[in-house]
Amino acid sequence: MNVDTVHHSKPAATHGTSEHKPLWVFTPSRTDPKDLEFILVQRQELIQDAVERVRESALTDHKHHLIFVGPRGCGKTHLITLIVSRLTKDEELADRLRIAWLNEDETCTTLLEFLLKIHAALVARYPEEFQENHLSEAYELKADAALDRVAQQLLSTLGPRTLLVVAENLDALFEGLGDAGQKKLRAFIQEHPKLSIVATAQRLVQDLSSRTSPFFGFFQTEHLKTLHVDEANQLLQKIAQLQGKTDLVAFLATNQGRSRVRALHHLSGGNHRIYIVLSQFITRDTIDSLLGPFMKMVDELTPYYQERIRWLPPLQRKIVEYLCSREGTVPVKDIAKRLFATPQTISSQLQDLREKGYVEANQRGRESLYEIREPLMRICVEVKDNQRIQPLRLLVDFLRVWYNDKELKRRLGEIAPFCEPAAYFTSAIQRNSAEGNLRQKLILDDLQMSLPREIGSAQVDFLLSDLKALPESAALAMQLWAEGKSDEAQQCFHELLAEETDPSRKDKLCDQVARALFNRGFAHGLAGEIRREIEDYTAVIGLTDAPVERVALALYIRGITFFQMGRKQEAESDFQAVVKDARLPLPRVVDVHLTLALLYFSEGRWSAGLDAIEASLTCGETVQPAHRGSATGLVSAVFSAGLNPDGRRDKVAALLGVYGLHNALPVLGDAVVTHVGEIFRAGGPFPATDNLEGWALAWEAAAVGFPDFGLAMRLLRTGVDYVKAGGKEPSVLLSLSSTERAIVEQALGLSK
Amino acid sequence: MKSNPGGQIDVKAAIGRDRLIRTLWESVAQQSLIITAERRIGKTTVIKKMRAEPADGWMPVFQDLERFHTAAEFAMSVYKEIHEFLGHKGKTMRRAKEWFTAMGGTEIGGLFKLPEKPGAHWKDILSRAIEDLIHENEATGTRLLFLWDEMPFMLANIRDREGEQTAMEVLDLLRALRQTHSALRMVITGSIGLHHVLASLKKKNYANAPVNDMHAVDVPPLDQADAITLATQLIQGENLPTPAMANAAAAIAHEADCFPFYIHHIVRALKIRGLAANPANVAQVVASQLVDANDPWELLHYRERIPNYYRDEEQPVLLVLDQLATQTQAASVNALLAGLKSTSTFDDRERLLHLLKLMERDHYLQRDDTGGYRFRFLLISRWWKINRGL
Repeated sequence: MNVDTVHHSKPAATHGTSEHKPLWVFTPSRTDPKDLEFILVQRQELIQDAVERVRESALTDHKHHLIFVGPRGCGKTHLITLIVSRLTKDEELADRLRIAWLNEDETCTTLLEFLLKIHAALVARYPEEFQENHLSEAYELKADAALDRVAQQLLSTLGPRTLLVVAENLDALFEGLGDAGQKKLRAFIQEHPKLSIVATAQRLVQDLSSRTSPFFGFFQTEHLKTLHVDEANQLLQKIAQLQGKTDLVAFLATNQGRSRVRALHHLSGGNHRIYIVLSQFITRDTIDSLLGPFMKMVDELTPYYQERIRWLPPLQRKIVEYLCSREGTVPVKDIAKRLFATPQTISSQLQDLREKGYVEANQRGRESLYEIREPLMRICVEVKDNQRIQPLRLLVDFLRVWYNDKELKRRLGEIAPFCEPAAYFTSAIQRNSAEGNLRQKLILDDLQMSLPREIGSAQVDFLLSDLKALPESAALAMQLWAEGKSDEAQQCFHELLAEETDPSRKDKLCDQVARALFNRGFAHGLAGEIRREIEDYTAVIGLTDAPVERVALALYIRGITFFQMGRKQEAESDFQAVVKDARLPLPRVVDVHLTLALLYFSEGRWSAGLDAIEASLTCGETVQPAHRGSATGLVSAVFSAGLNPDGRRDKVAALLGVYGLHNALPVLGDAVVTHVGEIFRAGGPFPATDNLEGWALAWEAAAVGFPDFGLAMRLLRTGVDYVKAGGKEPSVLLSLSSTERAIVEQALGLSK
Repeated sequence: MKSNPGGQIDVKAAIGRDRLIRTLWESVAQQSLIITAERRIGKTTVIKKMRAEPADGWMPVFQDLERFHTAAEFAMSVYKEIHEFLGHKGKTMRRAKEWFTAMGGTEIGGLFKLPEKPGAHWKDILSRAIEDLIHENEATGTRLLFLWDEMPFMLANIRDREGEQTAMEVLDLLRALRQTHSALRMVITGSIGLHHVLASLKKKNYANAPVNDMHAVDVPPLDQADAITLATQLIQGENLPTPAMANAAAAIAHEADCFPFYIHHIVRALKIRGLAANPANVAQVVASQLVDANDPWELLHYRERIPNYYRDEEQPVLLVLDQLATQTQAASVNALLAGLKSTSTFDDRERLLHLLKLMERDHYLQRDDTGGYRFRFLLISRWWKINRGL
């Protein structure tokens, strides 16, 4: 098998490609552009923009120069091929643009060589216009004169048209040209503004980024991004579709497919080429289709990564090698310990390595965790490790991610023992046995990273214990909710429920997910991430078959959150939803009625508030002993509602009326005393003495007809007098009996 | 017109340089010019527009000198241009040609074969070519104007390849030719200050002032109105949605400090991110570009070149810039000195005056009416503050 190509088994119905046209893994420029268009993800707009700019260069005197920067395998050639393909098809450009697409890794040490290569590329593409013999005279001349001759010939054959030079790995090309060659090239471009350049580079080398370099600021630079997990899934689906693998397309859209791709994403680091290699493995479903192309890729890339590591200063090199030897992310303190350096030193070196693109940081709580940015670098370091000649970890992990344990064992049984694939299957089975389900672990890592940064490690552990208890698909759904993809998460959860036939296990699963979502929402709230807090509560509320009590709690807390945000209509709607649900435990309903009352009071809707209190008390009386809830919030709302004595007295009278009617005056009495205690405990400046005195008078006037409220009135009066004196006259308390005094002292926070 | 940061602009579409170019033509009638400005501010566009739209009586020739690494290459290139210019007029380069052929050089069909050792004779080639230009061209009505871009780069190339002595001789010969032939005109530009190349030559005992007979012209950012026009055209060229074109264009001009290069960058960033052109998005784009680790606006250069430009004086330069970045008012020399004294051991007023002058020439600083110093560009000041964590 040619390891460089992926063959279509049948034509893709959607775009009608013919059979046997391969997807070239290492030289995408040889792939049919129609297929490249078909599998394109993420970069549609980038390509369109580049094409528009080259069009403007061809049709006007503005000349654009573009460079796309990204590491090996990130899809640069794919991008370039499509730009050239689209430009070639543009009829308006047919007589306005000539394209010289230089071979990849072209080496030139002089401007003359560079122009000769351009000419050769033009000869190959436009043999009618550009011919090799046009330059035969130049070969008789010395280099300087030859340069003039070649330039003159090139420009005169070009005529009024624009020349698009397409150069891959421009960084290497510039290195060959050196400073002198680059300066000559730049001068040539300046003096003959007929060129537009579209180039790629693996990184922004000094020749491109240093202001003292001739090409500083010359190019419009785009840093190519790695694939996001959704884009990776899209790419794999498109390749499967291209190859007519409709069953695979459907599989990739299922929970199992999604969780596999998500786990693969961790291993691949979003690298396009790895996905193309994986697509062969996935679509053909044989280990040979993974090992062959992968080994070829590793073999090709190892010298490149070794060279990149060699460029680094010694300490940075050691850090990179250490990170390559580790799986997953590593905290700074661990690196420091291993390398006998201080965390500060390691931190600053990591910062530099991050800027150079070698490592990336992830945040867990307040801690920064580092890992190698390109997984291929890790594997290339591993390949060179003479001490551990064994199956490559990344490949073993791919197998662990793609197959279940049972499937691994089945496949191992089907192949000859002691062959290379058998070693891989065996290693995958052993590691699963020692370390557990890798997919689940990787998804948990994602979940952990999505937790709020501000929360402490104890809380992180608490949340993680919820998450670890979840099955793989449920964890995936949790992650999808965390990413704001609630529809997808719901779908994932539904699929999970559909797979579960045991009703009790199904109920347990619903409860587990609801609990985990609620707890995470609460943690988000504590961390001040209100949007995400509401999203998690909303997810609980919308969760199919979630326990009623958990949904009620989520509605209640979401309502309170809305209330605090001033979104009172949404809050009221949530509270109403809770109180209307007859299945809920009574104490919860009582509390929600009271919160509704508080919400109405806050809006000046006193009558509605009193009705809500009435409902709460009525509801609470249906159990023995009656559940009344706390009235402190209501008392506080009346205190803050205004200083008008009549208004206050009327509102207090109404409260006394409703609580009296339900024989619940002790609850109100407790609330008024607790409230005055809260005022004092909040510390100065205290409310004005007139305000406090007016408050006490309002209660005293309204309570005339409520002899049972006498004790509460004495306690309130004493508490108010104590606060009016700023807490500086303890003798005020002596007007009470020792038992009564103890109650007030407790409310004021004076008890020892 | 699409945004094109760093690319080549069609000079017919260049905006806001007409007045400057008129002044340049007026000045060049009197003396040769040296144009200084930060790289990417549009110097090359200015001189290319001079070439494309010459004033009456002038025939400008544009040469990008950075490609030359020896004095002979430079001399031969000048020779060829003069040869072509006079050839158009039916004149010949009698003096230079006689000498050129006597030395063993030949010319066939417009291509020149150099004498065996052109390096030894570059002064003769250059001098005689210029003499021919002046003498043969008398009373023909049109004058040749050399537009020499990136002169400091060429001098640095020659210095590195042939030594300081030859670089000095190029400067001296050009000055002598200007002195001898009062009709000779050249416009020299460079993105690295000529004074930095001269500084390295001075270390080799070069004491001359080779460009003090030339009129120095600074290329400023665009006027606000022109910057707004440019932003408007780019928004239109990129088809960016915008609720209020005037507001968006004004915001771009303001945030870019009227630098055409940054105006192009902002519009490009809006386009790439798929954002509408409005003041909020413009501010967001600029804020993110200023802190972007990839440094898309290439501002890090303002920090990185300091050790190279100021060598032993790096520390006081940093302290001065730090001080100015954190205050809105201009600072007097005394205030800057006081700042330096309180944060370092620097206490030499004369040295400070010298440094401030250099920093002004390198476009870090400018002086206001009262003589106080401030950042030349607000944008750079803003970036400096972020970059230095002030």
